[in-house]
Amino acid sequence: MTAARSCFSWGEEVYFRGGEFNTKALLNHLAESINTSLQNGYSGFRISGEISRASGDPVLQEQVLDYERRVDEYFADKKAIGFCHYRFDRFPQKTLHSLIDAHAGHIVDAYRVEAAQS
Amino acid sequence: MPESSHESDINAHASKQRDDRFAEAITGWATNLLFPIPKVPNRYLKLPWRKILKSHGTIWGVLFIARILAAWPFELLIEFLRPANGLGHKSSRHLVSQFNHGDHVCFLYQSEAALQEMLARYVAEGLAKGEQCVCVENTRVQEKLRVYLRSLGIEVEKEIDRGSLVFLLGGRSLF
Repeated sequence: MTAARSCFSWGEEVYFRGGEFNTKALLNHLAESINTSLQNGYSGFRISGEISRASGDPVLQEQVLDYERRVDEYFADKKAIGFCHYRFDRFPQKTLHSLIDAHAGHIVDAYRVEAAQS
Repeated sequence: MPESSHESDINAHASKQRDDRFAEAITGWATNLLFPIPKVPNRYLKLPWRKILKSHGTIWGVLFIARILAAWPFELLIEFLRPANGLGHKSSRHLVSQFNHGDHVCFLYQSEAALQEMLARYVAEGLAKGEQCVCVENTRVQEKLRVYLRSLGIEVEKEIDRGSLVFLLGGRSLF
C-alpha cells in the first residue's frame, strides 16, 4: 500500500460511495483528507474533480450544487484549493450560472470556445 | 485569554483573506468589463455581489464594493508605473493558472485539450509548492494528465509513490 492510499479512505468511486451521492459524507471525507494531508507535512491540499454524471440528472444537479456551495464556505479559511471543472455544453445555462455562483472564482475557457466556433 | 485571542487572530486572518478575494473579484470584473481582451480566459465574469452582501450585510457590502471600485483606478495607475521586475512576460494563461489557499474555482471548458492544460498547470503548481494533489478524474482524463505532467518534467510515478499525487475515480462517469 502506498503512502497515498493509506491517507485516503474515499474508496474507489469518490462521489458515489455506497451507490449514492452523499453531501455530508463527502464533506466529512474532504475535511479528514485536508487534515491528514497537513498532518503529513504537506503545505496544502489541492483537489480537482468533475461530477459529470450530474449533467444528465436534475436531482443530482441540485445535490451537486448544494455540495459545491458548502465546499465553497468550507474552503474559505483552509489551506486547501478546489478545482472543479464542468463541460459547459453539457449543462443548461441556468445551471452554469448556479455553478459559477457556488464557487468563489471561475474561469471560462473563452479562447477555446471562440476557436471552436470560428 | 490566550486561546480566545488566538481564535480571534484566526478569524481576523480568514476575514482578511475573504475580503482580499472579494476585492480581487471586484477589480477583475471591472477590468474585464472595461478592457475586455479577446481570446483571453475571463476568470471574473460576474460581480459576486450576493456573496459580498451576505458576508458584510447590505449597507457595509455596498460600501465595500464602492470603496474597492473607488481605489481601483489608483491601484491601476500604480501598477502601470511600477518598473518591470525582470521576470519577463507572463502569458494570461499562466496568470490565471495561479491559485491561492481558500480558492474554490470552477473551470468551464469545452475542449478536453483546454481541460488537460489547465489541470496540468494546477497540479504542477501544487506539487512545486509542496502541496498534496488529489485528482478525482475518470480514467481517460487521468491517463492524459499523466502524459501532460510528464511533458512538464514531473516524475509522475515518483510523486504517486511519495503520496504527493493521488488519482481517484469520481464514479458513475458519463464519459
